[in-house]
Amino acid sequence: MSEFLMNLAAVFENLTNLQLGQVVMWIIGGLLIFLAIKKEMEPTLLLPMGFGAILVNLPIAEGPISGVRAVIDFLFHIGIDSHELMPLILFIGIGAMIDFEPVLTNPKLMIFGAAAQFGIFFTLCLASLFGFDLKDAASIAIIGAADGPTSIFVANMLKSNYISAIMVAAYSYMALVPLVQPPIIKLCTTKKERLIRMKNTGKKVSKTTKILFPIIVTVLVGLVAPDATALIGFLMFGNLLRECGVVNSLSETAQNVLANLITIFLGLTIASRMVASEFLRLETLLIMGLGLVAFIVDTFGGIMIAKLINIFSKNKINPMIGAAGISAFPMSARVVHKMGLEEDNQNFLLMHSVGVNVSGQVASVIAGGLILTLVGNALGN
Amino acid sequence: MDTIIIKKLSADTAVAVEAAENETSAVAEESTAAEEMQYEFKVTPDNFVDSLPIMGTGMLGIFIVMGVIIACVAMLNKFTSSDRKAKKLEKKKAKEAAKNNQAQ
Repeated sequence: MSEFLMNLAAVFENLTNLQLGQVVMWIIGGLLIFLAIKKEMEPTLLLPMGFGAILVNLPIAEGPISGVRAVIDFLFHIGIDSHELMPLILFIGIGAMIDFEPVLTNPKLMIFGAAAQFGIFFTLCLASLFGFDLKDAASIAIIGAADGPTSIFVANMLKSNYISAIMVAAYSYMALVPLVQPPIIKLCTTKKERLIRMKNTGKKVSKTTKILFPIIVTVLVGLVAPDATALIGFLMFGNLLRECGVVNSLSETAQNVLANLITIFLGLTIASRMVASEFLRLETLLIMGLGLVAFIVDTFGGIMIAKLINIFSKNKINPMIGAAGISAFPMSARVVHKMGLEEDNQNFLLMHSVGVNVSGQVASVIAGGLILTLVGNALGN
Repeated sequence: MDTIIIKKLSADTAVAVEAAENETSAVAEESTAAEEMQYEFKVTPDNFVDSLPIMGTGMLGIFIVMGVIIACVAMLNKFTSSDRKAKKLEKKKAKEAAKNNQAQ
């Protein structure tokens, strides 16, 4: 009998390794799964992240990491830690998904993409004010790029201590764009401004322009921000696959199979950093708060530059499209388009907001590269 | 013989010193990593002021790069637009027609 009880105790011995923090992480994982399924917020990432958060917080006996933790840690090592492989490969897929035509027909829209990166640099200063060292402040600030792969790439290149919180914040806020942006847009614009109608240019872009654009952007960004060459190069390579017209099967594979495959592993891999001991810290809350500030100031920056241009321009711009410069492709463009229709059901802003949105994608990569260069110089690397 | 022993002893000492140094540096690295992980909430206006030039340079850099990209796209549109091609074609046809007229 006693032997039976001993065996029974041995079966449940692992329960003694369970800690309160791990249970909290299960709840957080559950919340992410809830948001993914019930609210359909970035389900492709929040679902694997939520499940992974539960997976890596199952109790294990003290000692060398083994089992599922070892596998996920290995994925992190080869997929992110060594050469940021997964975010870069994902960028091929994203590049293949993006149609730059709206911005090529009206290249001036790129100004909004540039202005909407203000949140990144403002948050860098704010995080420095709150006592984070420069490399961590820069890594936190890049949450404002509203672009998961760029955030992971920069935070990992800078060897930030808070990579897990940064990754979770970046993807969570991207999912929350439909909730975060509308109140800021309404606060920064008047009803009259939101009713401004914008004409479609009706111009067509030649195939040559579409093919040369990714090549030229890669060369330019590579010259100015060499640290961002990998990011912009992979993004633009994906776009070249799409636009060249002779490798449609590769383009489709990049857009669908490749992007989906990487997304599955990326979500789980990010979760490997969501271990209770690393994640449940006061800094995590602060980082989430700073990430939110970055998103808000990005939105503000884009809107304000549109208002500034309106002072000097004859053809008025609906300042709401400036908010789409935040990157977060394509949610931000959709949010602006929807808000335009809410104000006036004949005001179609989609082409303009998509143009600003894709230029924000390019600008966020440039911002990431510049941050790496500038912070590297400041730290004396 | 004495010289050989002394040389051997000094070599052993050097190895021991090197091992001790390695151990010390490993401990130092560990403690540095632990220190890096510790964050203390404090308001540091000096750090804020120090990071302002990064903000200025960064935003200026983005606007310059985007400005150059805008210029490149505008030029690409100008040189590859369908209107331009159509005009070229029209000119060519007009020239050919003029030649034909002269020949006749």
